[in-house]
Formats: sequence, structure tokens, C-alpha cells
Amino acid sequence: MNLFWQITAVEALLNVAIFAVAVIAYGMLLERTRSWLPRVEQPVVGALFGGATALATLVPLHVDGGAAIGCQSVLIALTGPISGGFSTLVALAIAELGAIEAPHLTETGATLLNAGSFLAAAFAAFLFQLLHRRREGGWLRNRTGQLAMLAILSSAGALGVLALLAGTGTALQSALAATGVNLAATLVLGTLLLHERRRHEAEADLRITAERLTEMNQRLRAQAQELIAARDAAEQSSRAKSNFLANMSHELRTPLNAVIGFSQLIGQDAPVPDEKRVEYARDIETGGQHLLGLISDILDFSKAEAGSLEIDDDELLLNEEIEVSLRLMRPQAERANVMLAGADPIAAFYVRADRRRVRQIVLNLLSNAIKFSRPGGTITVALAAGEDGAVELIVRDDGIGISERDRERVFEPFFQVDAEMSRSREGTGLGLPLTKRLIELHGGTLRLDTTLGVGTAVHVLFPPSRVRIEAAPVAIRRWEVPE
Amino acid sequence: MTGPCHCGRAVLMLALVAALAARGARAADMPSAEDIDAISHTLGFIDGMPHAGTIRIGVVYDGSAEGGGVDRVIEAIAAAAGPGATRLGAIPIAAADVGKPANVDALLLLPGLKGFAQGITSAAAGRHLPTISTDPQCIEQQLCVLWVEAQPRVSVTLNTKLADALSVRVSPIFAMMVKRK
Repeated sequence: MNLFWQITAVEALLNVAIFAVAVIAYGMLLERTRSWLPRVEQPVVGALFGGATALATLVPLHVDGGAAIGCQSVLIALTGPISGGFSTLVALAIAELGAIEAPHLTETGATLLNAGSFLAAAFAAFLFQLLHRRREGGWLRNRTGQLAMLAILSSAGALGVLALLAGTGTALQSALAATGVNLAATLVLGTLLLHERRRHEAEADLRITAERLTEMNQRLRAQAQELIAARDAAEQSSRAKSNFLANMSHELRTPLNAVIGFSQLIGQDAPVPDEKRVEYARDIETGGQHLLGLISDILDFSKAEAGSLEIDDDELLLNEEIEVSLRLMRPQAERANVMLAGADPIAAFYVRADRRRVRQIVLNLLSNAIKFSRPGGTITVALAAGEDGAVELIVRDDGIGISERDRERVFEPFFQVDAEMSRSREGTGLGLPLTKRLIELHGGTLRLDTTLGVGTAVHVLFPPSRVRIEAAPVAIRRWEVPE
Repeated sequence: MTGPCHCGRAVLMLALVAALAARGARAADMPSAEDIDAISHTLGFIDGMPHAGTIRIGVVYDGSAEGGGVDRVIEAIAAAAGPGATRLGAIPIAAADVGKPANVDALLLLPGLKGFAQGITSAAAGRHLPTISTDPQCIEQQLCVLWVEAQPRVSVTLNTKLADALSVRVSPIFAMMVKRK
């Protein structure tokens, strides 16, 4: 290899190095600037390729010592199909500015030839874009034929410029070398740039897929948690129903045994004294009434759950209902050695409600308060006017209270605060849930204020729309159980 | 007894002297066709040379010398291809007339121009013309920017100081690859 070919080889290596840096920089741009590159891709890529072209212009390629054959315009031609028309314009402008500084382009003809080859490359890029419909990621899809076509368009333009400046003969003389170099450079550079672009697209696709998988994983995890919660709830419900059945069997069997036992005593052959017979008959009635109450509760709750429980809309004096309820509960309170006290009302509280259900509410609350009060305890019942015209019924006891853990669950059907304790005290676990549903049917609310070991206050609120308050006080008798 | 024969060493010495003499004689030779071809390639690396058309070379010779062989050189230049898509053209210029205006792109200095050094240099400097020669003495005499020889292998020597003085610029890679003085 003689000296001139050695020089050509070094020039070619330098050009390759410059273009390789451009390709690497392009790949880095795509990789590291994912968030903002789509918005400024065209000017950035145009500036990068234009800068590389300007740099390559400073190292012209001589073939066997011959005149420079510009393959510097290859990047300008590729900019458009890779990125877009605007990037071609940016690349062209920067390359032309850089070429002004090139020492070998001081001669007018050379300057015009160089500028012409750049313009021809840009024109080829635009023509290529016109001929091909844009697809995702640019106009080029790594087809050798497309790249070759771009190179031929670019070379034809440059040779046309040469023909204009130096004559057809000169252009024809240079045609083979110029087209060959341009074709090789376009194929190599275009393939590399497209490889970078496709790698970037593949990475973006992978990222999206990974994000989707992560999202799907999270959704599956959430669904699994929901399923676990549903399973726990089902197990809880199953346990509650088992408890309910155990309680019910106990609650039903006890009065039924009494009814059967006392009936057998009355019906036996041996004579039963009259006073005993009367006592047995009362016991049978008590057992029957208890059974009736239980069955009523179950039916009411089932209806409320099914949404078929209807309420009447009567105007009633709440003060009276409380008074009656206190009187009815007196025997039960006496047996439990608990004092029942009604606070003096400050007004007459009229509500539009279902009388039977309101009494059921008050009786249930009093019954619960008595059940969970210690002997010697006190239960107070009070009525208070709310600021917005509502009325609040408060039943307060100083009994065992409810733990924080059980506060929400006491409204679940069949749940009992302390199974062992409630077993010793009759109940199905339906009283409080049923009471809550009954007040909710009236548009009101039920709230618990309780501390374990200190006592419980139940607040029942009737909404203002159902309340009418009159100033004239109506006395509520005090019910006290003597020591 | 006779001593050892030193005939071999004497023959070697004679051959060396003959070779040096031949080199000296060749240095004064007119440029050959190979030299013209190498010069043509070299012109391609000089900034400001035409990229198309004809590159005109002023062939400077000592007009007072007899039978300088200038015609053969001019014919060889006209027959040679220029760098790239260019052609070469030659215009004979007598060293005494080198200062006169002539439409040339470079000066090819033929051997034996030592006496015209000042005139040639000032003429070249005035028009930023690269001076090229195949005579090795021209570099020493600060006459030519480029000394080109094609035999035994292509070699180019660049006189950087003179290039700067004449404002002649060459391709940076070319400057890096050739010998410099």
C-alpha cells in the first residue's frame, strides 16, 4: 500500500470513528432521555448528526490521493428517514456552518460542491420521506433496499451538482466512486442507527410489558387478599351461625323443656294441688312467651335483612314509650338486682315512628343493659334534644362494657361479646343488630360509647324530620329497685 | 606466504561509492512519469486546488541551461491524470520570468534552480502557490514546499516552515503521514 492509500485509510478510519461516536451518542440519547426526547427528538438528533457531519467535513476523504469524495453528507440523508424532516433541516444548517471553517473548502468551487452535496442529501431525505409512509419509529424499517435507494438518491443529487459545476464528463468520472462510497456508508450507518432505534423500541416495549405485569401482579395480590378476607368472613359467618345454633338450641330447649316438664306434671295421674297447678300453668306460659319472643326476633331480623320489614308512621310520645318500657322491664331488673332510673325529661318529645318497633328498640336496649350489668348496678335512661332538632335516647349502664376489638362486631348478627358470659345470660345475639336496623329503618342512627369494665352508653338518634318537641314537660317516673 | 585477500571489501566499497554517485546523478534527473503521477496525487491533498477542470502546473526551469528536457516533462504532465476528476496542464516558465503573472495553481521546480531561489520564493509567496520538486536539494535550499519521489517507493517530504511562509495548507492527515522538515 503506497503512501496515498495509507492516508486514505487513516482518513476513512477517522470518518468511521466520527460516525461511530454519532451512532453511540444517538443510542445514548434514546436510552437516557426517555422522558423528554420524544418532544425534542428532531432538533436534538438533527444537531447531533449535523455536528458529526461538520466534524467529518474537516477530515475529507481522498481516494488514492484524488479529490475529496464527500461521504459526509450520509448522516444528513439518514437524519430525515430516522427522525423527521425538521431534524434534516437542523442537521443541514449545522453541517453547513461547520463546513465554513473547513480549510480545504476555501475555494469557491469546493464550497459550492460541498454545500451542493449536503443539499442533495437533504433533498434525498425529503424525497424518501415523500415516497414512504411513516411508521412507528421512523420511515426506515431496516430494509437494505430502502437504504440503497436513499444512497442512490443522495449520490444522484450530489453528482447533479458536480455536473452543473464541473461538467457532465467530470461528474461521470466521479459517479462510480462517489456512489460506491455513499452506498457503503449509508448501508453501514443506516443499519447501525436503525439497530439502535429498534433496540430502544424493544426496551420500551419490555418496560411497558414489565409495568403491565407488575400492575397485574398487584391486582392479583389485591384479589387474593379480597378472597382471603371473603374466606375469613365466610368462616366468621359460619362460626357465628354455629354459635347461633348452639345458643338457639339452648334457648329453645330450656323453655320447651319447662313447657313439656310442667305439662307432664299437670297431666300425671297423681293429683296436683291447685296452687301448684296454677304455678305450673304460669311457668308454661312464661316458657311459651319466651319462645314466642325468640321466634319473633328471628323473623324480624330475617325480614329486616331481606328489606321487607315495613314500619308504620304514627306520631307517638317518646316519653310515654320509655315510661312503659321501664315499667315492663322492672321485674327483670329486680331479678338481676339492678336499679333502673329514668332522668326527668325537659320536654315532650314526639316522634313519627312505628310504636311497636320503638318499644322493641327501648326494650332491647334495656334488656341488654340489664343482662350485662353487675348486681347492684344502675341503668339510666335519658332523652335529650339535639342542636339540629333531633332527639337522642341514651341508655347508660355501668356494666362489663365492650372491648375495642368487639365494638364493630357487636352489630354483626349472632355475635356475642363474651360467649361464656352471654351463655349464662339468655340471648341470641340478634338484639343489638336488630335494634340498629330498626332505628335505621326510621332514618336514625345507633352509636355505642363504651369502655371495657366501666360500662356502656347506647345513643339512639331520631332524625329531625321525624321529631317534634314541645316545651311542656311530661314526667317520666323513676323506677328504682330497693336494696 | 601470502596475506589474506581484501578484494571483497574493496569491491563493496566501490559499489557503495558507485551507488552514491548514481543517487547524486539521479537527484539531478528530470521528473519521470512515476514522479509526475506521485505529484498529481500529492496535489489532491493541497487545500485550494481545483476539484474539477484542469490543475495548471507552472514548470519552472533554468532557461540559460542547454537541453533541459522541459518538453518531456510538459508532455508527461499533459499525459498524466489529475487527482480525482481533474486534469493536469503544464505551462513552462523560465526561472527568470517566474515573477511575471501566470495563471497557474502550482509550481513544479526542475533541478538546478539554486540561483533563482529568492525570485521563486517571492513569486510563490505572492500567489500562495505550492512549490513542488523531485530534486532533494530543493528542501535544503528552502525552494520547495514539497519534495516528491516515486522511486524506490513513494515518499513525500513537507517543508512546514516554507509552507507556512507561502500560506500553503495541506490536509491535516496528509501532513501527519508525510515526512516533515
